[in-house]
Amino acid sequence: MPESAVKASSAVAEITVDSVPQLPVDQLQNMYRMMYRIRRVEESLLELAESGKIGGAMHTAIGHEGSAVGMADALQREDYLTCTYRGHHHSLARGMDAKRAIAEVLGRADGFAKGKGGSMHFIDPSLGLMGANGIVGAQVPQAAGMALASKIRGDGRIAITFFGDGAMYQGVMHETFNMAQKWSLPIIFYCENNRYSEMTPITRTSSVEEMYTFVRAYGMRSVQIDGNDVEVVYHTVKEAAERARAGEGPTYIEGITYRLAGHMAGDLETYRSEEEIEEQRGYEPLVVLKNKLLDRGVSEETLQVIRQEVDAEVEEAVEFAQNSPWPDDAEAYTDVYALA
Amino acid sequence: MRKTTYIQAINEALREEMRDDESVFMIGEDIGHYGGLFRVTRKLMDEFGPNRVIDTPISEQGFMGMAVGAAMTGMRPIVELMYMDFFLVCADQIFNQGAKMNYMTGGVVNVPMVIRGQHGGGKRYGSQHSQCVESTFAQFPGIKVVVPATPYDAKGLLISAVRDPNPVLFLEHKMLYFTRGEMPDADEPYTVPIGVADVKREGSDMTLATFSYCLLQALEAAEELEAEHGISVEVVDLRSIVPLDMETIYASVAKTGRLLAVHESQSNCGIGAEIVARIYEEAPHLLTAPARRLGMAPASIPVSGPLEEVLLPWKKNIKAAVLETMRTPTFA
Amino acid sequence: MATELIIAEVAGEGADDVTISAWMVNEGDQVNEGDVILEVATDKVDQEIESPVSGTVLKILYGEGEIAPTTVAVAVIGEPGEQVETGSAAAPQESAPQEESDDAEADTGSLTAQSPTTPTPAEGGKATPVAQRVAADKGVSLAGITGTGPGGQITKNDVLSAAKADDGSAPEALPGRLAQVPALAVQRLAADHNVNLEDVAGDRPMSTLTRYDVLNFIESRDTGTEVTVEPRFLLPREAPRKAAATSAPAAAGTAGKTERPAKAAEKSKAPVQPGAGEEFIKHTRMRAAIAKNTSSSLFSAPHVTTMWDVAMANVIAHRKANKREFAKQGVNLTITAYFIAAIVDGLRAVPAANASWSDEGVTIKRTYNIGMATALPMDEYGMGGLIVPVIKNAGEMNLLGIARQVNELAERARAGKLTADDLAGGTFTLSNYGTSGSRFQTPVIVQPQVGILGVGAIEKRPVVVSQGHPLEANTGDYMAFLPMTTLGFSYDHRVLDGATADAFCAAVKQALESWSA
Repeated sequence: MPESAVKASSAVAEITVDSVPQLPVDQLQNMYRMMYRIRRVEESLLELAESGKIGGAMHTAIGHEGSAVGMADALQREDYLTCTYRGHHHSLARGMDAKRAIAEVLGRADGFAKGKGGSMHFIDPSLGLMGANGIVGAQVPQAAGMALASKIRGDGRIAITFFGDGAMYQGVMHETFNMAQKWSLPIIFYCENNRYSEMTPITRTSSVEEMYTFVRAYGMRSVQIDGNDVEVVYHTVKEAAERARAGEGPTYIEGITYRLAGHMAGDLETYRSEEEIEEQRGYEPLVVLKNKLLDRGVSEETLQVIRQEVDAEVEEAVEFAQNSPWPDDAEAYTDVYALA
Repeated sequence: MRKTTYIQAINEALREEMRDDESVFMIGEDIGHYGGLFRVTRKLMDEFGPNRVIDTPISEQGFMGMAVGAAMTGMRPIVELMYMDFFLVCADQIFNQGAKMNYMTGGVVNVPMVIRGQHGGGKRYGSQHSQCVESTFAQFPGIKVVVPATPYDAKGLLISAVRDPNPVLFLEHKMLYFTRGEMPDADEPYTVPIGVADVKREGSDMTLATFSYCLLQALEAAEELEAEHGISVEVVDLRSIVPLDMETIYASVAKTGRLLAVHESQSNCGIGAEIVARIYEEAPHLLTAPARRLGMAPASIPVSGPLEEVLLPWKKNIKAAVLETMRTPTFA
Repeated sequence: MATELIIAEVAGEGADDVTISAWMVNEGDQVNEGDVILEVATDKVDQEIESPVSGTVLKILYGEGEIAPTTVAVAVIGEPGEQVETGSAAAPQESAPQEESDDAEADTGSLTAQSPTTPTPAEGGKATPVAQRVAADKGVSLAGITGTGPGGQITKNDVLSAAKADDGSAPEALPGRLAQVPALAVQRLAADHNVNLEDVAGDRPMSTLTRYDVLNFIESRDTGTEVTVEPRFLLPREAPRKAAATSAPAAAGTAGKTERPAKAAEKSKAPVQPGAGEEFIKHTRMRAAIAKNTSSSLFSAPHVTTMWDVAMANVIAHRKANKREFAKQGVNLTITAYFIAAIVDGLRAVPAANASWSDEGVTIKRTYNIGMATALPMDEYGMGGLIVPVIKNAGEMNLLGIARQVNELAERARAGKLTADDLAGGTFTLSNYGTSGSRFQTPVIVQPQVGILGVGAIEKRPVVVSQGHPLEANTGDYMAFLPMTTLGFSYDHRVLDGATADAFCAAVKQALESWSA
């Protein structure tokens, strides 16, 4: 029986569910739709991976949807976002077409990057999506560079970057925290702390218990929140964004969450127990949001209709992606360099 | 025609591009207030301010990553690495990130940035501050590698590099900084295209394909070989090694029949090996004798001046390699 | 009233039969008088055939690759719906004639054989047999050529222009699925310059691309204008090895075939199977013709060769003195022109040398049409070819006129543009084997002529210059080193005898040695 890395999901330091205002029900309903869409896309991708249709490494964000959906509503479309290779949910939440996303993961011509980027490199600058990244931590200085660009141009855009608890011990994180704070860059550092750095509980490798305290050494504002509560995420990100836009510098947000599926498709998950996962299902973002909606007068039937609509939509997207052609052979040599 | 130093040529190019394009900014260690360890960026902060000439902490990976990120949004950052040897500290951001971004994204996001700085031996800086790095960069598709040897080419190519939509590594050899060369007047705009080699000396017996500081060494060697041995060496300045202008090399070898590629980075698996391999693959019929390459012997660079001189593929070693090549029997 | 297309009627004097190289039209197509509708190959040239009338192609009687007599109809042109007298419903041209074509190849060993290494042309871009042969000769990949003929058919001209564009060095496509694998040098350029190779290749397989194809594309793209980068340093390529075995003859017997004279349907011979270390090269039509003509000439005409030394100093001096003057007239004054002029003198002296033999008598010809045997370059197997363009009416021309004709024919021969007319009507032949270095050969008479004059290499030889009696010692005799050549005159002993042959040679020698400005 592996030791549990998980404390109760509500064990957050600074903001609790009760401390944020409620969002309108129709907005929450839309958030539910998006969250369920992300879930269904991820589940479909896992099925495709299990049937051998997806090569390489694919990391799903089942259980992480709260941070992505809360963030997407709180930011402007032109704000920059970078994220980790576990980044399907951020991209979908910001509006990426599920058809082209799944086609990309399958390496098909209709993928948003012609099948050259795949699961770990989701990107669409028209949605402010500036790239998921296959190298842990590499997306963080890039987001700071985007914030720096906004600052030089003075165009009011901010940047947000998502990373996991495992990224905290990459040196470049600390280089970036320092520069971002020193130069008051308009950036939000969002740590999706799912308590595991890949297959190892973070408690086993970290000398620091509360990660959000790290950046306080650089003088940066830092909060820990329940990352599974979409309203909490929304208000926290929105406030951080307003500070960034006002020139008050970066904010570090640690959103506590839990990854319900393996690190990647095919993960044996020997590092945690079934019981732990079962327990966490009670706290996961879709359940939290569903309970809120039921509490606030939305019927189960309404949610049922939403789910059915999304099921059909995702089924169609999978169908589209599987029928998308392979890229032309000649595409292997293109795009190494951009043309002027 | 006026004459300027190599440093002055680069400084002019930086200044002109900063003036012409507000998306251009510079970032690096000691480049602002101090004006750069080698004074290449001097007085630029006075004109453009700390927002566009950014002094960083000693965090190469961090500011290289920030430059990549800024470039992804359409800015045109120019990163100075104080010593090119430090690329190893931030290699992920250069190679895994900047160089691959356009490809990984199917051409959706490009990275118009310049990484510039000095490399090379000759000043007794020892193993961690003297190596030439261009061959390593040539191993990674997605980044162009520019290696000018003259002030004229340096200015023209740096302007082209800044305007290029891709990451460009711009390599300045520390021995070139105080060399002087003819330049058009300061207000006379010009560029030198990336990927076009230039014949710097005509000859008939053999082709030397080289670049950066080795070019100056090769030109001196060629003069002495002509005077002392009656060997007429044609010297081709590649000016950039990615992309590599093989056609100009072929045109020269079509005339001379012999080829020696010379560079200061490692000989093993180096750009010279690539040049020699390509002529054997693409145009071996032009050769009348085996093609060769000369680079650094597989040793790190020592501090001791005489030992450094033993290793560097400069004039003495070039002359030896030319004579050796000329003695190689022809194929026929 | 339907019109029969008969080669002999529309193409003038020519061979007994032709190979149908390519139909530019299909049955049912509308044609105008003068449209090129057919390409045929005779022994030595390719010829385009124009439609003699306007109308609709009602029936095509000989498919591509088949040999058709020149005196029978190969097609019928008339009004739409008009009944063709010869009758039975024609099989669709795409299928039946193609099968027949295979058949004909196997039957006759015709030059249209397509080697198995030849790539399948792009769909809808079928190549004419002549185009296929020219492509094989030039080492050009058919698959990369866009046809301009009807239905996208690749014509000889398409191949020639592709060959020109490719500088003759475009590689053959790799076989099968490898056809789409570009060369490493091409891959590098594509990656370095963000080139989609399919855009460069068009319909060609990517394995046929050269660096220069990509460089052209890059230059054109970057400059916004069509730029051609001269392929200066391409590695010369060996032509792909020609395949040996021919495939088994296709099933014979299709509708319409019975209408034609039996001649086109000779029985096939068993295909030759090369052994280990051997390679079988199918006869080209030209090789077959040379074989037939030389052997029948030697077996029918008793050949005798007489050998004469000729001093060339005067010709050379004259040429030196007049070369520039001729050049002003746009004429390159060649030594060949002098020989032809001298031959005419010889033929005037001995009219029987300008004649043809038959069992009944000898026909003396009063026009002097002098053929010039011209070698074609040898291929990778060391096999060459021979073509004999004819200087017409040499007797009515001075040296300038002859030289001009020699230039023009040589130019056309080099460009592959000789017509059937250029090759027809010879009455006597010159073989200048001296150009390949030989001093003396025994040339074979071109039937039905009676003589062929060979000319050896011109070289300085020690010659005794006699100052008195030619056979007695004279004090003033001396040895000089003079430009000399040796004539080898082969004659048909049925017509000429030793003395008359020598009379001809003496006249030629006299003409050459006494040449003066």
